[in-house]
Amino acid sequence: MAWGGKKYDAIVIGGGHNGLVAAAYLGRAHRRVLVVEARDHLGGAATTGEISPGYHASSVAHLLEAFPRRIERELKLGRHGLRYAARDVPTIALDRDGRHLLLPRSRKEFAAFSARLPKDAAAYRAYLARLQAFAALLAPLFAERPPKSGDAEALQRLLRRIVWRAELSGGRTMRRLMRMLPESIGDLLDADFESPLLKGVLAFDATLGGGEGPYAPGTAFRAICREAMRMQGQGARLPVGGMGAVVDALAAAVSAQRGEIRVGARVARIIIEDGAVAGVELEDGSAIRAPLVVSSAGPRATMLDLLGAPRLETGPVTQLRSPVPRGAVAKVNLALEGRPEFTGLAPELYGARLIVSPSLEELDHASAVFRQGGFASDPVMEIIVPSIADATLAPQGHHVVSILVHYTPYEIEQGWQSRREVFVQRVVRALEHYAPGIGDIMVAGEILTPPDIENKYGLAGGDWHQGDIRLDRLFGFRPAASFGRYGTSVPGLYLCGAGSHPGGGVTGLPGLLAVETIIEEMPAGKTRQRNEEEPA
Amino acid sequence: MVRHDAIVIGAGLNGLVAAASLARGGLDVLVLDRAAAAGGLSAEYEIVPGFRVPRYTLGSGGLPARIVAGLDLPRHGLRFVRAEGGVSFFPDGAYHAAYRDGVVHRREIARFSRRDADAWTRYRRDMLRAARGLAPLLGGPVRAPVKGFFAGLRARLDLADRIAAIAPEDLADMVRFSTLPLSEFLDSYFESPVVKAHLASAALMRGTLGPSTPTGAFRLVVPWLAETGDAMGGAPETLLPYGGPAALTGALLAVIAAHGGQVRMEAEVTDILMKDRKVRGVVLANGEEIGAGAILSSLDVKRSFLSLFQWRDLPEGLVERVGRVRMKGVTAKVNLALDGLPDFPSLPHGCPSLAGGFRLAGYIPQMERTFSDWRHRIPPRDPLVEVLIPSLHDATLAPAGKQVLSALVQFVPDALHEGAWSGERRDALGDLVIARLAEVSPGIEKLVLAREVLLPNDLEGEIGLTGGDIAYGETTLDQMFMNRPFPGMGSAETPLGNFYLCSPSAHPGPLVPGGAGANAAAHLLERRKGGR
Repeated sequence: MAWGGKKYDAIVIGGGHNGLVAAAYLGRAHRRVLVVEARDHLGGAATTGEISPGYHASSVAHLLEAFPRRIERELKLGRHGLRYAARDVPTIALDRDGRHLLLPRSRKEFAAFSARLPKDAAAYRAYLARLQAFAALLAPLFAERPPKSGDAEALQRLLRRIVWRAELSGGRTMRRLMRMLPESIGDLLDADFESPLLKGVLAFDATLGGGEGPYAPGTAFRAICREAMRMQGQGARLPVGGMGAVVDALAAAVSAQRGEIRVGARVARIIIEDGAVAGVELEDGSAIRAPLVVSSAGPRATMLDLLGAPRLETGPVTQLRSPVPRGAVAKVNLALEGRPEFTGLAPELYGARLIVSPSLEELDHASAVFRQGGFASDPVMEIIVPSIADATLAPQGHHVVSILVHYTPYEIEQGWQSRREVFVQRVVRALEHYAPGIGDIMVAGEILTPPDIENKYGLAGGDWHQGDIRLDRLFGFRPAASFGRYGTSVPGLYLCGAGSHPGGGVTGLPGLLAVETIIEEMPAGKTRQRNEEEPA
Repeated sequence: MVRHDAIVIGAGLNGLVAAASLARGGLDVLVLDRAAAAGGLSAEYEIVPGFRVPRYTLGSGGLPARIVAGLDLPRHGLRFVRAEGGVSFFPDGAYHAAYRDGVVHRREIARFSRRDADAWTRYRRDMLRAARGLAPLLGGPVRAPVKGFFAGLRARLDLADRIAAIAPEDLADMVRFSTLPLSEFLDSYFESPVVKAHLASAALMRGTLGPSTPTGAFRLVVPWLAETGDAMGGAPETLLPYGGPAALTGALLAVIAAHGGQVRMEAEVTDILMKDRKVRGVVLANGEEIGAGAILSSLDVKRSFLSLFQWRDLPEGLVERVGRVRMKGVTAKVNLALDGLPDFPSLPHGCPSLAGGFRLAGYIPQMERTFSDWRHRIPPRDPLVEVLIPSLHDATLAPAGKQVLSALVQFVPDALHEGAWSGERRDALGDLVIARLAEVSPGIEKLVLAREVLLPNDLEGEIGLTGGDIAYGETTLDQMFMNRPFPGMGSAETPLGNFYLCSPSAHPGPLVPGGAGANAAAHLLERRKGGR
């Protein structure tokens, strides 16, 4: 039975940004699409929430760093209402003594940076050049589908291309990259830099989102991956109205392609007939038929819960079961009846991305505490005051602060229930150090621990990367070797969430690349035809 | 000035393997060492008269078959005892013994989990496959970086083609091996905490990674490298030189002597003479100068470059690159003279696995804590200890009825966060190890006639090993293979003409005993054959 008497070419499970990107691109390819979202609002981890009446902030993700221009253009997101409040948001390392450090974006800023850190300036330039060269080598891989498992020719073409590209940027690039793969960011920075503050902020970026400390092997590679992902985007940007604005524009794009969206519709299972996808069954018992189901839910949930482990072979099931995703970041959103005043920071920089990560030692310590199921007494964090650039977020003269707290464990000794207060106190105390008086103007706040993020936004384990950035979980190995190219063992079932290549962050790339695969593997005629054969 | 074809600095295992290979290759070789007795790290000593153990190493482990055969060591008296794979004891009284026989070994695992007994076959197959995959890399020198634009490009494209040709499952395995933490890797095979801890503890020994550090899975394959794969189906065997490491040293010295090589002890090299960026001889502490066509150093990479040379003689940037090599002490040695054979009541009587040594393991979370303490430079509260009682199978090592016990304590920092390694703390570590031993062998503390605790800085002070790092440089993947000892060198040949590195600071590091010595000698012999 077709729901509401309508027939669909495709059903997209999940109305997060990747699900919506997939739906919009399917619509562009003239498929009739229905998006089903379990919660009563769209957006997943990319939403704008109300902290208290009149105060809005991006609930989880708070900065667009890697959103491709291609998607913005092809889906006409500008026409659908996407505007930016700030472009090229700078990064500042906050210093305990008020001597904050701006990571330079221009020649002028670099001159100031060199004057401040004469010994590290040249090393920083070399570090950036190296990082960008490696990232440029890998960046194209993040923007395209990984080769099909077992397709030796495609893999050979890909590897040869990397070698050629490396050759063009100097013969030693490849060897240096090979060394950097297993290196730790801490060792790498210790070898080249002196300033603890500079090392702290660079290592923060390489470790954020994961649980590994700065001295864990492989964290240097994470820095390269992050840079390569940034290259997909157009610089760090703040959308007007917060992250929810991106999702609103995407939803409008879906509607413009005559796609439909249903919220509050939780999928109970994926219907399989004759070994192929036939549609989905909702929790209310109704069935919606379509020959193509594209899921932006987590790979584990999709394959093990909605499809069911018995339909899979043991190998893929084991691959999906371990490791269990575990987020390592908490989100704190604060509403302020006034402007926070940061000691030692020029007011025009209040809208910057402010990093509290004073040294490698403190970062390492925070990760060690995290690994033992606690949080550091001095939290390492990323602070943005988005209302500086975007007046729509708070009443006139009032502000909101959006904070990512690095190394926050999913499971905590004594439980989150009893430790929540202490956690917030520590974050506010740390804020007070940099912005004295901020506690006095606080009127409301919300905290999202990793379990909260899991419950409220449906991200397994509260892990917004849906699987850490590791070599064994990237490209064709993401989310697992058996599902490395969006398709699954069931004809008509595809994955399109952050669990698939190229991974987490608000990029839309998994959604886009999944649709590219679908169009190649299931040409329009095929889905139509099968649809029309069904009895009305 | 007297002149030799080659001078080898250091009479440890690798120095002697290099010297023996060169002597057999027809070169006139001189080995110089500042110590009184040959053997280096595994030199034997007496704890008290009549009780002999290797001073700094555990005493297990052999040489790869190709080196044993290539140097004709059996003819010079070397024999190996093939022991079972060892035992792990746990604080709650559990134990896990390893057997070479697959049926027995699986039955042992089935005591903890039937599913794990089945998984063993899969695990063993994957380990052997990984070991075979690594063999060509470890069995010889890393190929020197190809020079020239087109040749380099061709080599890299060939490599890309070879990778693309690997079967997808093998490629996935290779990536998992080189990226996963070992605990996560083991989780994908086993469920029993005992089985996992037994395998993890063996892999953690002598390394600087914890159970949940990425890339640690790589170390699980180490015990399998020497496994010949003859179809017993069980755990890899433990090789023990009959007569201890001293017998190994003795056989190598005999080969050197038989081919006209010389070994001079108590001859410390203080300087290397240079001419046109090439080495041409050494200066001894007594001022004596000896010329050499080539010099091979079996000292660690830092000593080799930073203490033997005048820094101004070294190429630009070399001092910095050598300085960046990470060397960290991670083990202490505890040697005991025992008044009799300790009893292990929890083990079945006469358990043959004991001959392969045992580990006081604890479970994985405990190892993680110990690792974390080490990283924060805190003395171990719950050390991981590997023990060998060499006198069990070699009665000559102790007076009749008595025993010697050799223990390697893992995760002992070389320097402390607070204070220093004082006599008190050294004693406390000794007491702790004996207390842990007494948990599995009640009454052992009453058998102790004498003991000695050797900390990482003792190794540095006594034999000059930087940081007391018995791995001669951290064995993380960024310091292995073509990156060992540092990127850009990646082979026994150094940037200095006629100067070779033959210690485990060079490829293949400590993974293949004697491998670095054999590599350096092979390089030099090939060069001479090439007439360069």
